[in-house]
Amino acid sequence: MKTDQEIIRELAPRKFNRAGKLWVGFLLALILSSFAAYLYQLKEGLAITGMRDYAMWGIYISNFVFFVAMSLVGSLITAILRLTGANWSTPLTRISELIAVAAIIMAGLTIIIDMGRPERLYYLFIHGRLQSPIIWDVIVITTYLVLSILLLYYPLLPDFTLLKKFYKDKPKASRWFGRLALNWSGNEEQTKIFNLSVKVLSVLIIPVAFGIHTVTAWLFATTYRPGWDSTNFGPYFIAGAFVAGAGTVICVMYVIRNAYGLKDYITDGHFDKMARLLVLLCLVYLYFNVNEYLVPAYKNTVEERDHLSGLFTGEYSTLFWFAIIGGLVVPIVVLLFKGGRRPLPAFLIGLLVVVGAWWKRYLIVTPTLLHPFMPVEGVPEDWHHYFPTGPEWIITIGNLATASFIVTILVRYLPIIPIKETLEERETSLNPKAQPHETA
Amino acid sequence: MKPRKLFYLIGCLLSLTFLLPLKSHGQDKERVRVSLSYVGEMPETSRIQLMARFRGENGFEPAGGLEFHIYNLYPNDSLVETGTAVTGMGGQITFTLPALNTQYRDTTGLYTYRVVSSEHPRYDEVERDISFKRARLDVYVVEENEAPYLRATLTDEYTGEPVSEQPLRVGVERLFRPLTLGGDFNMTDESGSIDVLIGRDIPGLNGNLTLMATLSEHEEYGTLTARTQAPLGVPIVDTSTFDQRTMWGPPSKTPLFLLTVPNLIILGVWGTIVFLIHNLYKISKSKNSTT
Repeated sequence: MKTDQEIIRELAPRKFNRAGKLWVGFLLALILSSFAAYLYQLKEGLAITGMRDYAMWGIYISNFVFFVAMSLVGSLITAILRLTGANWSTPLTRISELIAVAAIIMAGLTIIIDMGRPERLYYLFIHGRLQSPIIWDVIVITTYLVLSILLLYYPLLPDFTLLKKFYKDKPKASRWFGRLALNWSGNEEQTKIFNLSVKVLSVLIIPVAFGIHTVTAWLFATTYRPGWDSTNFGPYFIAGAFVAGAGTVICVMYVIRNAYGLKDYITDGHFDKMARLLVLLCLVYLYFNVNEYLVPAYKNTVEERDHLSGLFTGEYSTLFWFAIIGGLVVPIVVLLFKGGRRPLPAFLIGLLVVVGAWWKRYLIVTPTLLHPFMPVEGVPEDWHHYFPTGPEWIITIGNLATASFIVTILVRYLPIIPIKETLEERETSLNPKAQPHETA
Repeated sequence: MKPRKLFYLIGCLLSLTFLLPLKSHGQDKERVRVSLSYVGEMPETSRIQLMARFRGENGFEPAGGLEFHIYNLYPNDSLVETGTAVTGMGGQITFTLPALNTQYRDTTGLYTYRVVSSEHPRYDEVERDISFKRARLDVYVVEENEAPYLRATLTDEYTGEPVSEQPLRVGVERLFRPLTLGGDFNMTDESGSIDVLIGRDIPGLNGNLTLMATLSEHEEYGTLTARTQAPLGVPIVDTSTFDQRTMWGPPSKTPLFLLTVPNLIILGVWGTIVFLIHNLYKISKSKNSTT
């Protein structure tokens, strides 16, 4: 039986080992490369990308949609599971909150990267029209970012206090955690405010999270184009976001569990439950996919036919079937079996889901742009096709690396598993008659 | 062979080796085809339209970026420059001419202009002449048997003689192309005139119709257009939403529901965020007994 102190020591932030340092170095190399590529883009303009009059959105916007999707996981694991009383998710809440914060920060940055003239960003505010979904997106992303940070920060307060005491022989660390703890002592007044705030946050973040994904979907659906002209797009995006987020959480929890030796906290049972959840989410998303493709295929208008044939049998068919079969069907089949829900297979399936989810966003954005209802006249033949250029890939990979870097740095300095809640749950399990503390 | 002759022979061969490619390089320039047409709009506007093309890999392609000078041709081939312009990507230029009464015309009433291209690294130099006479095309509305007609009269401006047996097209001006009245062509009679019935059911802004007559691509007079306005149309009810608050309006014309509902939601959410941040402050200030 571990003592409280042992648990705190195991869950307290730790320095990177050799592999961790190599990982940080690798991420920094990618980030610096992408920064150099972005400076080149700033100097030369968006002409260095593959984007032209037809494909005016490319992998930057695909990446943006992907980041927005990933950010939903914070509300799924923390808010939805918390409100439904699914206590098994406690060790996963902080992981999902970190992913959400990193993803939403990068979503905002990606939009700026996609701008040919980023110094004109303030035009959005001085010339923005409230009628435009782009303005809705700016508002809702900013709101969601603040809420995600609050949702990450609030439950950390008791942990910061514990860490302040834990690091008493390291004054600098103790001082920092003390400042971040905001004088948290767990007294009655603080506990009351805390519980109310976390409940309010958990409730509030759900409609805002649904809002951000719905509005992002509306960026496409309010544009009259084959593949986007759908009233179903909001729920379709939300379902896809849950899949991408759950897949990411499985991957990150596997890496953290092995890197920090947290098998006692992130157990096989957690992988089993997350895998079951992923199956359910994949099934829902698959259902929406059938809707999105079957109905236009049945109507078979000229533009939809061109668009769908490009996806089913044309130049995008390999990616499309990979995203559908690899990203949805295979995970459903594999995770239905108990053996498939063990940590390593679940991790591999999670990776497959995340990669499939990224390409799915690419397939949502790009092929549609190449088949407009009203063709652009008098453009060179190669403008009818889009494939990202080298600098675009470098910048995009750098964006993904930056998101991973944010998560990595937060993992380094924050307790990745909620310490206070873990202690309380253990106390409750040891003494079922005892009432759990009303904290976090 | 003597060494000196051999030296000359080698010299000649080397010269040919280097000079011939230069010659052929000069011949690689594209030959430009230029077509010119005269377009006049009553009462004063006169233009010369230029189209420059060359035979490319995909048939005739526009010769863009080529500079042309335009000259009014005087007796003894003396030239007076009237303008300069560069072809656009479509290979086209429209020269607007000065008032024709200030320009030279010969004793038969013929105006002659010459366009000459400047030197260009890709295209050969080219020059082309265009000659035209000025005609007057007068349009006005007449009423016969209580029905309105558009009367168009074509007259040679120099001789003052009516121009008969020429096809005129009559229509009502519209955004993209005119709405034709009286069939495709109406031949002028011996007085140079045509009469075309104007229907009573043609819509027009505030009931006004812009009626037009056109002489197209005439050998001597070029293309001529004349317009007149008449309050003979059925007034159009303006359904424009320009002054209304719409979803497609500018920021100052945002629909009121969109100003109120989302802003109330934003206020509610951000009010809650402020409440949550204030709670953090309250937590930090609460230091009493520990549980």
